Amino acid sequence: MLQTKSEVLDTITTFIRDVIGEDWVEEIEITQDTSFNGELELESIEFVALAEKLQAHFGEDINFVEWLSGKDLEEIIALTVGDVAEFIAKCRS
Amino acid sequence: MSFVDANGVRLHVQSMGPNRSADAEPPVFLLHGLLLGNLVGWYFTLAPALAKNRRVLMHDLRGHGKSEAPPEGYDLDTMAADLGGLIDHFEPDGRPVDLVGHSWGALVAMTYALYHPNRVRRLVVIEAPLPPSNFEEMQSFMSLSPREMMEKLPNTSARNLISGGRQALRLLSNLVRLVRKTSCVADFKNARDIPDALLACLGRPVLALYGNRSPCRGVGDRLARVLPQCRLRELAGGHNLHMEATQALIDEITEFFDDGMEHPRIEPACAVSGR
Repeated sequence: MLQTKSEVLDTITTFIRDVIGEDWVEEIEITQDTSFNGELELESIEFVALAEKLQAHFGEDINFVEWLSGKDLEEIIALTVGDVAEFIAKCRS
Repeated sequence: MSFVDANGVRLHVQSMGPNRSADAEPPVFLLHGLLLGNLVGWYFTLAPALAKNRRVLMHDLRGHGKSEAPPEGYDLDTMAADLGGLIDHFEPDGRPVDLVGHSWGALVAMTYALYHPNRVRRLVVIEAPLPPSNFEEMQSFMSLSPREMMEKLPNTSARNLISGGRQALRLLSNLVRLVRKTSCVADFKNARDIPDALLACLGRPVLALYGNRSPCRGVGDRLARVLPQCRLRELAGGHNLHMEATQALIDEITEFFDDGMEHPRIEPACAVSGR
């Protein structure tokens, strides 16, 4: 089952709202340019929870943690929602 | 988020790598340090490398990260019993596991190994401080307010990561909870040394890793002298080796786990009683 990047983006957006679980996040628009560290101010431990959800949802096709472990902290901090969507879409194509 | 009830406390656990199977390598449990540590410190550093061919299990110590924060029980014996609850949960058949601990987490792992030698195969001790509260830097750090502790964070990247309002507030509120509402700091300050005679009972292969710029460096020499089977390695860095020397740490640990040494079980002429 192939998914387009925009479908993947929708799934990620839902998971982000779940993980943060606070009212304000329901009201902000999450796009592919939204930064985890910037607009979302995601805690690193919430990032782990997001990775867990993505892995459970997309399965063995993606190795999110391995992808992240190849990056240094500065790169991880700069990641946008679109970067993650693109990685997942690429793994599934 | 995955949670396991162990020793009466709800602990946040993350698993990485292949799932449990009887013929695979036994899992390795990773234990972080006090106060500012949580399992994230492993998640993006050592864990992915160790998880290539085996299961890696990390938990937030009680009071840390997403784990429950009961008012008491931050001493080594209780935290070792927490770890024991997790090991029983994930390896109900009693297969021995490997343990890797940093700082206080290393002392928890050593305590568990002394009480339950048959449940531990190998032990990696990173920057274990002994006696625990003997280091002036740590004593003075433990006397700071939570906000001052945050300002002392060693790594500028880590500081950037928490410079945002929400992230800083959440980290601070966790720290306030731990310092003001639990016995964590008092338990740390009251922690006694593990005497040499007891360390000599640790009949499992130990890899001791210390930073050349760490205030704890001398403890590595003591462990190498006293433990029956100890490989001591000095790496370039300070106390937070998993952040400062990640690759060197991975190399040492994988070599230690892979070298196939058939570790003869040493049954020392001493008995350790406890939980």
